Amino acid sequence: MRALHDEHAPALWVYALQLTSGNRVRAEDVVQETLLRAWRHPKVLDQSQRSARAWLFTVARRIAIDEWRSAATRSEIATDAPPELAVPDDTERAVQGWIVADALGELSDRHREVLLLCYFEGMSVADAAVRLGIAEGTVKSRTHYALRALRLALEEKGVTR
Amino acid sequence: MNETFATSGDPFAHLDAAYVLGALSPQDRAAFEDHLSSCAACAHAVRELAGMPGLLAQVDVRSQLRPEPPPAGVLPALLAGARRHRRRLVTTVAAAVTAVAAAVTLVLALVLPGNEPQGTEMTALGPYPVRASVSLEPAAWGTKVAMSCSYRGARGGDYVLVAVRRDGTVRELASWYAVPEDTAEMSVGTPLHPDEIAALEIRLPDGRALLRLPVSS
Repeated sequence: MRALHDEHAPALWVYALQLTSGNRVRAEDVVQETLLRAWRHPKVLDQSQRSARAWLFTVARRIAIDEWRSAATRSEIATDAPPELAVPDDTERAVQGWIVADALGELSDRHREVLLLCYFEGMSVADAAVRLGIAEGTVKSRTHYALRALRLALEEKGVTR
Repeated sequence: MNETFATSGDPFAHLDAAYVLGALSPQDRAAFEDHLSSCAACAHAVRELAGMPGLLAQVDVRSQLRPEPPPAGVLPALLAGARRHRRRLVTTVAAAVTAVAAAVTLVLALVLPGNEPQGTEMTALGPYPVRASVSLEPAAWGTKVAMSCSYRGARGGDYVLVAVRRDGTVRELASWYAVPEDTAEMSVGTPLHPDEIAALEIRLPDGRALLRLPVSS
């Protein structure tokens, strides 16, 4: 159970916070219930990390919707928005995002850093070179190796494009 | 820095990633695009990486790259929940004893064809909100029983899996609490050999049988 928690709780927690619109008490319930179910169905975790995550996120989403419904019938939530709208099915996207985030986490610090700057912070090669205190040519070759390392890590996780 | 343009003599060879990430200066980009029309290797390299920005775009930077850790209370609550669950699930694990098991050549003459992991569906003895399938596998020490039981009721409840012996007496194999809209999977061992078991039944704690699977020998 501890291993299950350590591997999946961080991602589930972030996802549950989104599902519950930031309600930390409900998000905690969702994480606990999801991981308890996973613990009772160890087979679902024998699959690839991607399938396991997809299962966990789907279950988490169901739990969040069920909670939402039962709360709504008790009139605790005064809103006309049906739960499908309150909890959009972004499971697939969230799972994919975590796979890519995990793959980024497996890169060396140098490789990750250059991708964070050149992609996520939208820096040019020249800006990144100044930020890192290295030559522009080094930034170019580093992105070359970093993006290939990322592609390889993703292929190992079953993501190809 | 040992990250120089080591292998290829092509000065553009390392620009593929910066190009697809959109990090090249306008001048570099224009020069690289000119080069692409005449260099198959670089064009191929760019095609290989072309999908990467789309994948990176799936990452939510704020929540996934620097995620907030889950609250400290989650793990203790989970461990407590697992203990509660385990207490309900009283399994009779066979004491793996006696080397008398030379007669391992048990032909599995059970209902199940082969050792299909999904098992055989149990027969409902009434309109109950439970369905289950079981499989039996002979072992030197007895029988391994794998069961998958799904519960479609709304309230949950206690269930017991028993083996009915040929003389009609029963032996409890496992008990569990069924959670609404959920499936319980378990694998238990019993010292009974398959040919000692007349049937498997899922019962309520008061003894009423809900599902049954005759075990032919």
